Parts: sequence; structure tokens; C-alpha cells
Amino acid sequence: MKNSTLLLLLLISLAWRHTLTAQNRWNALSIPAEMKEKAHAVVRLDETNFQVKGPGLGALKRHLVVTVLDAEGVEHAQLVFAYTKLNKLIDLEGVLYDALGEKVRKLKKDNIGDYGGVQAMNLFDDVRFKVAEFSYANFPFTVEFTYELQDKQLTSYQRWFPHSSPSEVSIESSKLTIEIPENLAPLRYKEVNGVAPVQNSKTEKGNLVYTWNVKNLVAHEVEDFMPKWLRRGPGVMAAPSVFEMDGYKGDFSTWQKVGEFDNVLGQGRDVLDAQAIEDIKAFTKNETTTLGKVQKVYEYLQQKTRYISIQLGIGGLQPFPAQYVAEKGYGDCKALSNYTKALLKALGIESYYTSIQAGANEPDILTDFPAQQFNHVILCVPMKQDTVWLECTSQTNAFGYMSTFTSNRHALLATPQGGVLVKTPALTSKDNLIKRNIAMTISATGETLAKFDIDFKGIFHDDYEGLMLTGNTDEQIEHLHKSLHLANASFKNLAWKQDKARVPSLKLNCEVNLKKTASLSGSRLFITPNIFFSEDYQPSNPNEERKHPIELVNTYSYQDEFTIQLPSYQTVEALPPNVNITSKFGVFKNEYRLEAGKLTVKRYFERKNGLFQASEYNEMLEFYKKIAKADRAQMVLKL
Amino acid sequence: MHNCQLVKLTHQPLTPMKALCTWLICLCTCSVFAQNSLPPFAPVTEADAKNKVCTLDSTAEAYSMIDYGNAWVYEANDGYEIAYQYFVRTKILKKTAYDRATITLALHKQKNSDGGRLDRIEEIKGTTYNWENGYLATVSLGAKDVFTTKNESFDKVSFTLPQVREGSVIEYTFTIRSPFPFKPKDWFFQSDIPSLRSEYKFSYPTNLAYHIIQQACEMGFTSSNCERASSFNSCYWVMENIPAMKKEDFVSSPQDFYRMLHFELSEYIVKGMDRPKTLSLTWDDLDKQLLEDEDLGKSIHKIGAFDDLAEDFKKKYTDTLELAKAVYKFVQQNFSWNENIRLYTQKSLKQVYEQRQGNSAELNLLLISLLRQVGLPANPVIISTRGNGVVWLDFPLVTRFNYTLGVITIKGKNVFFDATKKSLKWGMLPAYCMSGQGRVLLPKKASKWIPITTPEKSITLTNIECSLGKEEGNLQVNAQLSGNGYRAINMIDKMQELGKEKYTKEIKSKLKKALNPTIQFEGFVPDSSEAVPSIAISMTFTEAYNQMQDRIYLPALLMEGVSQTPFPNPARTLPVDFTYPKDEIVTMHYNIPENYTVEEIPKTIRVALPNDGGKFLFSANIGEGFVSVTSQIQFKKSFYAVEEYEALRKFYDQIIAKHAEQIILKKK
Repeated sequence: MKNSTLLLLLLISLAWRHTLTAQNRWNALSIPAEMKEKAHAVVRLDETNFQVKGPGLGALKRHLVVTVLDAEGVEHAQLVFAYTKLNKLIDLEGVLYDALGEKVRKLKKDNIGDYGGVQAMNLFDDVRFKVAEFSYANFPFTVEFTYELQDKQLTSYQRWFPHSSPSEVSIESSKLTIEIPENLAPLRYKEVNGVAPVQNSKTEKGNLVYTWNVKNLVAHEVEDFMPKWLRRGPGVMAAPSVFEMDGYKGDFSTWQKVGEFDNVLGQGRDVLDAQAIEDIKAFTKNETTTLGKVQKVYEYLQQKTRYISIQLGIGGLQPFPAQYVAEKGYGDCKALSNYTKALLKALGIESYYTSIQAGANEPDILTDFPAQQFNHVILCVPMKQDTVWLECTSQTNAFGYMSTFTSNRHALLATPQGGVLVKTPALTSKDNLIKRNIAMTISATGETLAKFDIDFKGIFHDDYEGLMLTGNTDEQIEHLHKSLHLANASFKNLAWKQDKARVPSLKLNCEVNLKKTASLSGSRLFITPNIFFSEDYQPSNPNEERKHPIELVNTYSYQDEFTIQLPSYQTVEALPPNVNITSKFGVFKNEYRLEAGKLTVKRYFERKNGLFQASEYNEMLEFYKKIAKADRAQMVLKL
Repeated sequence: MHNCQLVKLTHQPLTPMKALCTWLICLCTCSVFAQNSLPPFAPVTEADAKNKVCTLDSTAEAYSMIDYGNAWVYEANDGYEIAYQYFVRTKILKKTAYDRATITLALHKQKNSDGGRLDRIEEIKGTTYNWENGYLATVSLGAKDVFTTKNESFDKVSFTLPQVREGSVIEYTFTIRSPFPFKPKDWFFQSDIPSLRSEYKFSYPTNLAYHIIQQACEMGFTSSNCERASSFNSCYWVMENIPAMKKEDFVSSPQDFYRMLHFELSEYIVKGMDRPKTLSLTWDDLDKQLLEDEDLGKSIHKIGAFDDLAEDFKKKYTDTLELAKAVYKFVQQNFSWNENIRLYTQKSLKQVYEQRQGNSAELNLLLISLLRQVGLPANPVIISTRGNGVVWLDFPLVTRFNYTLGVITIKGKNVFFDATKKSLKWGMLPAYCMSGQGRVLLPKKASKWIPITTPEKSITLTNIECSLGKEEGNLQVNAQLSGNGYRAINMIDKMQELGKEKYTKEIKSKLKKALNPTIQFEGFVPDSSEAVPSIAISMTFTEAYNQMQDRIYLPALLMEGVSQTPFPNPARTLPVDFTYPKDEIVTMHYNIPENYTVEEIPKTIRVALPNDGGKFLFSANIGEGFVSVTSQIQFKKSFYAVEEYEALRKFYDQIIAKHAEQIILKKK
């Protein structure tokens, strides 16, 4: 080739590359190193634009750009969103870029999946999912998606938490914009977890615009015992005041009004036919007290119904009529709670349909922000002495028991006067209690036989109830040694006894062969009186300094008595010392007594709950270390 | 390997369609036949409704009272369709069984250029029976209570029976009409609850023939029969009092042990044909079919672009073993696997060679081609991978196979090869190929079964050196964890999957008592069969030992000791499958401080498993200023029969007891 032609081509290619570079906004190389360090994907841009057009109409626009760094990050390059008949997809587009940010191809129809019936917990729902993804294996690569949805589901506006997967994803820039017409302004919102405050502006037409930005959030591990509300990271919650949905009108600006909407949706749905009313009256006729009647109604509910979830349209918020449950014998939490309310009503007993954010790992709702913050419904029966709370979806729950699913948090009662915010009762360390009475006999060869008499109460009862209910001894035997934290044990003659008190308990009696739990080394016998693994907390990141406060959610206690019949021995070479530890995190006591060839150990451990500062973390570790050491203490006999 | 009987179906001569009118008449007759009505089942009785426990198994949460299926093939719409009629009656004993009253079905859809074909469902009916206030109350499933959700490749149909409680008897029936009659649905007699009576019927026009395979039916049937009535062949099978199938660990394909029936179209003749078309009958036929298939046997051919390299290889390596290894390495290193497991190729081997990429069959058939090109006798072997279900030896079915690998005979020995994973050594196969037997395809009816063997096993080596730390209870530890054979492959795969950071994190999470562990990886060379991966850990191990007055009690094994038995259940119904033989060796070296003597060490123990199944060796020795401990757990087989289960349990009891022992030091 001639030199001049070559030079020309070179110049052209240089110019061409320059033009491309200017456009290569999504070049993966331009991502700062600290953003990539612990991440598998980096969100370059995530813009959510929510426009409220009227009380019943909104539009959602999203523009998302994600760079995938390796195979682990591929899931974050997949766009998934749900829609129903009340949302309409206006547009969905996507582009794939290579490592240098050069366009590879556009999203084709074949790359977009549309799926229904995906949510396994529902028998049927009208939610469909769009899944858009590119199949590409040259890392890093970048995907860009834009979509627009028309939204007629305006009972909630936005729940924006851009960094909710902090351990895998870094965020370069994420933005939320909410636009609202003047007649619906001001927007009600809550800024959470230190997000930078809002920037206000106005459009030409006079609509108010609220903008929040987060930038440069680096991927990081979630710390142990991180307070639940902190785990979501910075964010914004926005809710409507006046709204319309599916022909209904409501207002969420106060808790009283939020509860009022429940009353509106439930109107006329607590009607039972004559046969159903006669049935419940007959079933409860021998009860003379109100409490007795309520308990009998709960028994009726648990015998005759089960949980089946069908969610359609506003049905996500509205209960099926009580008569439906009476006829079919099933319903979801809303329908079953409403049905129970109707049954009580037939007996002249008042109760409230109660909305709650349920789940052992769910943080409490924001009490100063009236909005639909709930995922579950229970029933509250006010009484003169103790208010009774009913979990209507469980056929086995003890009457009035609130487990970690719904205890110790705020709930909204839908009273005839509207919504009232209250707090559900909390479980104490006397409620969450294990009592272990273990009688062991150890032979001269270390073979250990034991009789277990264990009482599980509260959260411990909950842990074992499922196993007991299987009624399958083989399965129970298979799982018991794991759940009781015993290294090598075989069980027989299992006997379970359940006490469905307000805080239920479960007794387990059995004979256990602990094999050679006592270890014979030569002529010495090593006995660890606490055969169970200790309350041994080992931090996930032991060498990093703690940043966040510590939230210990549950409080519980152990009351143990282990008696060990020892084989004949010459001397006691080592006897564990008594231990007594008191700290803000709890109490621990170990008391040993050796008498006539029998060792008795009394052990008490109480773990407190609460919120502690990050600086108290080492103190907590010390507390656990001391307990673990005490529990590992061995008695050594020279035989 | 378990028994599988071929039903001696008297090979009925097929009836060819003669005249169009006869054909039409047959169609009409078929339509009448197409509406099979349910047999009259005994009604649900008071005793049924009141019953509180299953006689077959007192722990059952539910049991099947009637499990009825009836499938019939009929002519429709220019071809054939199959209808499946089901009737299920189940007794719900406990609340944990409520989920059995909710049914979810997937109706298959197939899109093609002229619209598509799909399964249809009809006549869904359901009833719940409860004994209430002295009488048998019934509630029916409402038509509105059946929900359908549409998807691209299947429609989901779901419904739940009303008024289900402890003690309810639920009943439901529906019929699925399907335009896919060549592989009729399997029928399972056994499920995860006991069954009082399971009955299946299957009928089809006599111009078709089906292979019907019974799996795990050695117990026999209460009754069964096959006969011909006018232009239909009809069969039925009834089994009673069937126990529930239990879920157990260390089983590669649980589905191989369920009692079931499997159906495949084997022959058909329709109007215009003078001879029936056979789909597969004998092993010879199957071998021939696959050898002549363009996407399998016939895909093997000379690759022009390899000619020069072939000459180079032949010149450089005169020893057949070295030559084979060199060609193997060449393919392993230069071609990448697209993660697809296949029996057949999807493109020509020439294209595979050019693109440097292929599915499992493509890479292995390419390797076979290249080996042949250098003059070595390599042949394809077809298998069913682990978890895919066992191949029925008595029964030739192409559909049971899902993978092609290769074999070469060198110096009288069979050596298997697979070119998909770059970390495999010569002669080693990926774990999922360790499926027992494979069929080597050879021309001139010489194909046969050969056992899939590999000299490799999984070897885990852990060396730990400890010295007492400054603080009481602490040990300064240097540990080295390395692997050979399958263990090496697993470690390398893990590194590829997790990446260094996550792998480090995972190791650290298991060493919670370690302070400041430094972890180094060596020998993790991806895509190399020579790699010997090893992880070096240096750390301070806290709370590692107890000190009481003037004695120190050290654990015999600081790390990698077995503390939990993998077999807690005393009962076992299925054999134990470890995938490959294993060797786990741990050596400990404790440096004893000058002012201490060794007072006691654990005694040596030697335990052997019966039938040369393996051994456990444990010994401790005192040296000059140190104590050493060695533990070796060896499983020589990958497969242990049910009769050997109790021995395995006792084996682990002894290992756990020994691993918990201690070394005692006393101050001088």
C-alpha cells in the first residue's frame, strides 16, 4: 500500500476513534478503582422519575445503566420489574456496550421475557414480570435500559433505596425525581439513613419537582447485628395524601385516615349468612366469659380454615367477603382476619382489622410517616385486662401468641373512628426460655448415656414446633442432633408435650446415647459438662473496625441443670471454676458442685436486647468470649 | 444398578390403513373411543372420612386412597393425540399436608410457523368430603376457582379444593389432551406419601407400537394385563399398598428408585406406508442409528486444517500414550466449552475447529476425529450423566442418553477422555460423567457396554504445624490445605467460581477463632491439568486449648477433624453414593515448649470397612520436642450397598470419637 494512503487511513482511524471516545460515556475503564474493589457490578446511572399526574394516575420512567464486572455480577444486569392491569408498559428499550463503551447491539424482543404466575406463594395473582437481559460473556460490559410505565396503582408513590444490595454493587449515581401538580402538593416524604436532603424546583407548568441524589456509594459488607432499618442504606419514602385507585378514593395523610381506608375497603364484607352465624353460636355456646368465647372462635377458625393467597387488583389491599371464607374454608391474611372479625361480631364482640409489617427481620414502620407500610393483617380484640392479638393465618399458633413474626412493633388498628397506631407486645427473656435438665451417666470408657428433659418456650418453642408437628420420628431424629448442636448422638423414646399457653412451650423427653462425648485419652477422662455448643458468636469480620450501631433484637435465657454420674476415679485433676459474669449484654453463671461421684452444673444465661453503640462492640465480643471459654471448660478425671 | 423389566409385549402385527373410507370410519370409532368415562369408584365412606391414621405408615401426614390414570392415543387433526385422564383421591391427616389440596399444572406449548400446538385441559372437577355433625358433608370445587396464567412456553393452571381440614378426603379429576403422543407421560406408582391403590391404563391404536418400561417394580403388581380389542391395544397395571419414598442423602438420581412406568413410541405404520417405521428396538439398532447419525457417529471425519499439526504430532511422539496425551492437551487448551451438555453435535466439526468452541459432544467427537487422524483408535462412548437417571440396560432407548465422551485403548487398557474441562488430567472424567456404565459405539455390531472407570479419586491433604502462642489458649498455626485428583479440580473450580476475594472470605468464615489469618493460594492455575492447588494459612488460633494448673490439653486435630456424622438416621433404604473414592489425610505437628513433657497421647487405631470398602488409620507419636498426629480416612469405593450402611455409621462413630481425643502436656 502507498505510504500516503496508509497515512490517510491512519488519520481517519484516529479521528474515528476520537469521535467514539467522546461518545463512550460507559467505558468501564473510567470507573474509579475503589468503586470496583469489592463490587461485582457498578450502577453507573439509575434515574427514577415518578410523575404524579392526578390522584389516580401516575407515570414511572426509569433509566438504568449497569456495568457488570464479572460472572457474579450478571444478575445485576438483568432488568426485572412487575406490572399489573393497573400499570401499562409504554416503552422498554435496551442497549449493550462492550468494555470500552462501544455499542454492541440493541435489546431485541427475544431478550424480553414476560412471565405470569411466578410468585409461588400465591395460588393466583395478576402480577406479571418483564425480564430483560443481554447474554454476553466478555467482562466487563455495560447494559442500559429505559422503560416507562403508566401507573394507576397510586396507593403508594415510591420506596427508593438505591443501595439495597451493598455487598455486591457499587453506585456511581442514583437519582429520584418526583413531580407533583400544585393541587396535590406538597409531596409527603421521609428521608432515611442520611440521604442528602431534597432539592426543590418547579416545572414550566407549575408542577413541583423534588429531587434526591446519591453518588459514589462503594460496595461493602453488611455488618453483623446491623440495625434493621440501617440495612437498606440511604433512601426516600414518598406517599400520597389524596389518591384514587380502581374506583376507590382515599387519603393517607394521617394514620387515622389510613385506617379509615381499610374501613372503606372492608365495608359490607363482614357479613355472614344465617347458617354461619348459627354455627359459631353453637360452637361457642358453652363459654361464659368474653375471653372464653374469643378463644373458642379462634379454635373454630383454626379447625375450619387454611391460608390460600389470591391477589387481584385492589384485592391486594381489600379482603374477600367473610361469607367467601365461610364457604371455601380458605383465605389470605386479610380475608381470614376479616372473617374472624365477622365471627366475633356475630357474638357481639368488637375487634379491629389490624395492619402490620410482619417478619422477624423486618424493621418497625416509620411512625411519623402515615402511609401503606404494611405487608400483613392480624386481628386485635380489645379487652378490659389483656388485649388479645390473633394470628388468623396459622392453624397451629397458640391463642393470643405473638411470635417474632409480629411482636414488638407498631401496628395500625382500623377502629370505627379510623386508624389508631399501637404497639404489639414484646417477648421477654422469661418468655424466650430454654430449660434443659440433663441427667448423664458416663462409663469408664467415656460412653455417655443421658436422659433429656428439655422445655422450649417462646422463640425456642417456635424453632422446634415444626419438627414436632411432622410426627415423623425418623425425621426428628435426623434433625435433632443438628438443632440441639450435639456432635454425635442417637435418640430414642422421644416424647413431646405441647402447652399452648399464651406464650407456648414444648417439652421434649428422650433417651440419648451421646457415644463418646466424654473423651478417654489414655487413663484420663475428659468431660465437657456442657455437651451442647455454646452461645459462641464469632464475628464475620474480626479484624475490621465496627462502623454501625449494634441491634440485638431478641432477649432470651437458658436455665440449665446438668447432673453427671461419674465412673469411679482416682483423682479429679481439673474441675472447672464457677463463673459469674454481668454485663450490659447479659448475665452468665456457671456453678459446679461435686458430691459423692456426681457432678452437678447449674448454668444460667440471659441475653439482653437493645441498641448499642459501635464502640461497645469489643465489649460484646469479650462477653461472648468469656462465656464460650466457660462453656468449654472441662473436668479431667484420672481413672 | 437395579432391575428393569421389558414388558413382553406380544409384538402385534400392525394394521395398515387400507381405504380412505375405512380410515374415516376408524376416525369416527376413534372419536367415540376418545371419550373415555371414569370407572365407577367406590364412594367415600364414613369410615374413610373418620379415619385418623394411615395403616401403612403411622407417621404419614396424608395417604393416597385412589391414584388413577388412563391414557389413550387416538387419531385427530391429521395425526395423533393422547389424552390423559386422572382421578385422585387423597386423605389429609395433618395440617402439614394441606398443600396437597392445591394443584398446579403446566400445560405444554410449542410455537412453530403455523401457529403452534398446545396441551389443553378439560373437565376439571373436585370435591372435599368432611365428616361433620354425624354426616358426610361434601363441597365441590367451583368453576371460578380454577385459575389460568398464560406464559410463552406453558400455561399454568392452578386450583385448590375448598373446606380442607384434618381428616378431609379430597378428590379431583381432569383430562389433558395433548398433541405430543410420542413420549407419553411417565406414571409413578410411588410418591412421598403412602398409596393404597395406584392404577394406570394405556391404550393405543394397533397401527402403533409402544415400548413400556417398568422401573423398580420387582414387587410385582396386584394385577396387570395387556390385550387387543378390535383395533386397540389396551394395558392396565394395578399396584396396592405402596410405601412412601424417603429422601436420603448421597443418592445421585433419586428418581431411579421410584416405582414407575415409562412409555415410548417404537413403531408406527400409517396410510401410504408399505412397511412400519421403527424408532428403535434392539441395541444393535440403537448403535447403528447413532453411528450413522450425522450429528454423532457420522460427524467424525478428518479435519483438513489439522493435517499439518497431525504430522508434527506423529513425528514428535512415537509412544502411543504420549501421542494421545499430546492431542488431548491440544484440544483441551485450544478449545473452549460453551457449558452445554449434549449427546449430539449442533454444528459440523469443521466449524467447531474453526470457532474453537463447542458443546460437550462436539469437543469430544472432535478429539476422537483428531486422535484417529494421528492413527490412534478412539471411539465415542454414550452415557447418561449422574442425576439424569440410569440407563435401562435391558432396554435400548436413545432418550436415556445425554452425553458423548470418548475412549481409547492403549496397551490393552481402556482410557476415557473428556475435553470439556481444562483442569482434568489425562484419563480423568468430570464427576458428572462417573455414571457407572457407558456404551462404546463400534462399527460392525461390535458396540458394547463398558464400565466407566477412572484411576482418579479425591485426595485431601492437610498439614498443620503449631506452636504455643504467647497468650494462654493461643496457638501459632501454619496450615497447608492441598488437593489431588477430584479434590484439586473442586478447589480450582471454586476459585474460578468465587474469585480470590470470596474464596478467602469463605475460608476465613470457617476459621472464626483465628486472629489475622493470612491466606495464600498457590498452584491455582486455571485450565491446567498439572495444577496442584494449595492454600497456605498462617494465623493465631485463639481458644485452641485448655490449660488447667500445670497441664495443657491440646486437641489431637486442631482443624479438619470430623465432629458430625453424615449418617444420623439409623434407617436407610437406598445405597450410598459418594461419586468417587476419597482419601482424607490430616497430619498435625505440635512443637512442645521446653518446659513441658508429653504425658499422654491418643492410642493408635486401625478400623477397616467390610468388603475392602476403606479404612481409618489414626496414630500419634512423640518425637524430639514435638508430637505428631496422623489421621487417614479412606473410602476405596464410590458406591456402598444398603447392607453396608450400618458399618458406615459405626465407622464414623469411631472417627468422631478418635478425633475428639486430646494430647496432654505436663510442666516439668
